[in-house]
Amino acid sequence: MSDWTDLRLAHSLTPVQAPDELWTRIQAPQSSSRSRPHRPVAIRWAVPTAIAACVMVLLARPVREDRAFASSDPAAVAKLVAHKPVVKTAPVSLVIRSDSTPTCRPCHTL
Amino acid sequence: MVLETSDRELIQACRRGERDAFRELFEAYKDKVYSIALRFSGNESLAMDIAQDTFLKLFSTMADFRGDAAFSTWVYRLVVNACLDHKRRSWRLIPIADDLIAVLRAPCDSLRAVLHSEMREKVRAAVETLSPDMRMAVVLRYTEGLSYDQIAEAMGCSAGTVASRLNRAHKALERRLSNV
Repeated sequence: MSDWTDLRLAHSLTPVQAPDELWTRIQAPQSSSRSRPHRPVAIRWAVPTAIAACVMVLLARPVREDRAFASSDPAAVAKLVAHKPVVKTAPVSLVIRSDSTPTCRPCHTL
Repeated sequence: MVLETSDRELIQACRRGERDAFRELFEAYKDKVYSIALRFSGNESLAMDIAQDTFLKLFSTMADFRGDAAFSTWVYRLVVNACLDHKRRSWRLIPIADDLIAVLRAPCDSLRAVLHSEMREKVRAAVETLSPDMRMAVVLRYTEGLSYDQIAEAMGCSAGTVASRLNRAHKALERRLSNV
């Protein structure tokens, strides 16, 4: 610790005299006015009002459970399936187009 | 002897409900209590609240004082608790507003006075950035000039803890005040 800091602290934190008003306040603590001001009514009601408004908005929001799901992302589809065990999907029709009659070739390609 | 005769007589008179004794006890300790409250909170109105709470607690619990420690130590303990309670209750003590206003209102007789005042403000502002425990140790040390043992008794910790807090406080203050 430097002496300079020590000196500055001693110089800056000197004792002070208590105001005479202090004795008056101690004698009548109920009647004395504390320095903490009461919050204005508007501020007191601001937070509960905001919370109530948020709750109402959330409750009033339409439920969109049945909205159509459209995605080509396999991860998104997997996520949806995981959350909804029963997923209605359109039947996939496999159309095989070929110029000739479908025969199985050695390479197993159609 | 732990209790000074004057204090002991005053305490006994207070226990008997003598009004003059309360006033005398108040006069004996008001500056100490208010100084600690002001230097800790940095705000005059908060310091008044803290001092008021301290004296009300002091007068209402006078019967609990057993005389094991010095009466002044007991008073210090009460004001330390009142300061820390106020700090816990309030979001943030307004550190330098009142002092700043006082500086602005003060007549600027000379440049030297202004510079001195400015330096004091910076030191106080730096002290007010310390944690409550460190700040209280610094205030008791420099405002009241208490020894490590007396601070330890007032704060309810060991002298080693006081030394550690003061050491950390000094290092932090030196860093913050290096450009002052």
